[in-house]
Amino acid sequence: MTNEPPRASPSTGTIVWAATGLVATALVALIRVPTHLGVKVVEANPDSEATLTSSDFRGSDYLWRVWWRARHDMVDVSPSWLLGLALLGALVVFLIGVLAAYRLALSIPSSPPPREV
Amino acid sequence: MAELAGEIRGSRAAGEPASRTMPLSRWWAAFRALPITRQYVLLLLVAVFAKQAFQVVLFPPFTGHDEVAHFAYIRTIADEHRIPILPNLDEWRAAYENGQTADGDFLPLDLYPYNAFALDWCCEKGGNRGLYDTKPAAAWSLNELPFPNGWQYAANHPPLYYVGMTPVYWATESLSVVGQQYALRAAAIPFWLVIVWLSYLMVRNIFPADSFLAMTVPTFVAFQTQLSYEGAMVNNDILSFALFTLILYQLTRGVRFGFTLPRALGIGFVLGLGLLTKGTLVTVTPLVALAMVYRIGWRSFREWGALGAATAAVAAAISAPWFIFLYRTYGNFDGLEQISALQSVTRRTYEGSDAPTVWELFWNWQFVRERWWETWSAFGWRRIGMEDWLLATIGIVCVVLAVRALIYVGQLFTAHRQEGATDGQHESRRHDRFALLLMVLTVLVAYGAVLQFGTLFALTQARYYFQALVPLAIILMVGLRQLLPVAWRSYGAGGVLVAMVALNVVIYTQYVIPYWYLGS
Repeated sequence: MTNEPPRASPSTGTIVWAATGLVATALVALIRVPTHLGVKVVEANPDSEATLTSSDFRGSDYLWRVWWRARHDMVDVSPSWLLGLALLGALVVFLIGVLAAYRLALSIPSSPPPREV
Repeated sequence: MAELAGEIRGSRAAGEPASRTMPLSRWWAAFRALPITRQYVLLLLVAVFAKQAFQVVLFPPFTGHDEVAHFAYIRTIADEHRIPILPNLDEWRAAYENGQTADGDFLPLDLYPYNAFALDWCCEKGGNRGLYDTKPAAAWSLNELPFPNGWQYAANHPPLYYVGMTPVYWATESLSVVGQQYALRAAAIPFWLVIVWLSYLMVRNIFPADSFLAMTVPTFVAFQTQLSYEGAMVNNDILSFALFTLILYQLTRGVRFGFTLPRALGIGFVLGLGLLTKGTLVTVTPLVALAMVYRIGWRSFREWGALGAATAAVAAAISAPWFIFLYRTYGNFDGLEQISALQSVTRRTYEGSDAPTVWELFWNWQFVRERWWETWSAFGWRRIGMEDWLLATIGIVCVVLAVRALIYVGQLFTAHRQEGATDGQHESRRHDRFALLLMVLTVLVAYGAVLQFGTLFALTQARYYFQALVPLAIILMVGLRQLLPVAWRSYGAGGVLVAMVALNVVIYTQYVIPYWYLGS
């Protein structure tokens, strides 16, 4: 006799996993996101000779390109491609870990709380 | 049985022989034989290691919280084999006015290019007609009274973290200062991985059958933005968080299996190390006492009194040299009186005005907002913020989850004994609900300590309660579990992982990377 709750269907889990991966890839590749430089820049105030107003300098860029543009400025390493390779390696390890963990999360049996009250 | 749900194993049975020919296949077979939740957490640790390594190089040198001061402390121990000391304001003034040098440590001049990332190290580049662009001013002035400039404000911190980092400092002496700093940041990663792992073990102590919590709690902890930021930084916070979490792990284990003399001595040992790392560890002592009294029974005074005394004795014996040093050096046990005097020039204290009470700070909405902002944002020496809508969204989600969890805790305490439950099962459930209550109390005590500190110093910070983020993660994820239908929990566990990764991507893409790298 068992009262083990129903498992999530493996096929459904696979579909959710793959769909999430595809959506995430599409977002990274295609979506432009607002960026905040956090810098207070002085703007010309048309009503005054003085430049008194200021605001956060904003922009937008593709998600992937924000990270790509920053890669050579982080640490001064010679040759510079070595840092790029290390960052790429870290990205690959990160993605493998997260994707595999996500797949496992979708496959767990749906356990009830240890004490239903 | 439902109780075994969390121990569902992978595709290979534990006793099945593994291949003897290829080490990799043996590793793989051993991995697959682990419970699924453990497989998950190991994969999470792999991903977190890569994330932390990235964070080490992402943030420009010395831009983490007080990295300049902590680096200087390590250098003092490594080069001079001593603990730095705070200058005494009166003695320093007397020496300054006579053109002499008083006792007290100052931040090293080769770190002055990073003075913008240290407290009270005048002056801003370009100010004073560039007079102090390459060397610091000797003193500040307030009401025509001189104050020292660039004093070592981390000097009242206990030495354990810095002693532990000294071998790393020595091993990297051939590198530049910046290179050494990156190595020291990387040395924080193992502590961070230990915290994530301990969060998993704590969940297994409190909810041994729950796969959902065993996955989501470590995920929340691993990707909590500010806590993980500390896990790639030169700062004693990370060791204090790890030791605090280790004590909580021991407490949850004690609540589940009972407190014995070895366990009491073990808690005392870790507490002693904690007190040698950061003074905030003292906040765990009431939790230790409460857990022991509850589990042993308040009527068994002799038993919990003896175990408590054993814990206190070990902790005191280990940490006593530090407190003796503090008393002999400063005449008190924390050096805060000296810090307060030295910081009055920069108005970080309430000198000259009424200090708020704990109650006033508790109801101060601006105070709450600032701590919430620091909990998720405030990267790069508190320069990098987030938009209010994002902070508010996170806040609303967390409040909903916390309220649901608290309702659940209340239900546990008001529920009648389950029909058919054995005495052992009933006792076990009673201990589990106390362990959950202990998590709630830990969060309250930690926040209370921040409120209390805020009555002494205007610059209190959220990171002073970060040691309670693992209990907070447990509370929030219990709330989420209670909100989700049973059949959705696997998707909920995956959703937590996706949401936390997405939150990090959003914060780094929109705020952190643009601030440091896209501005020019």
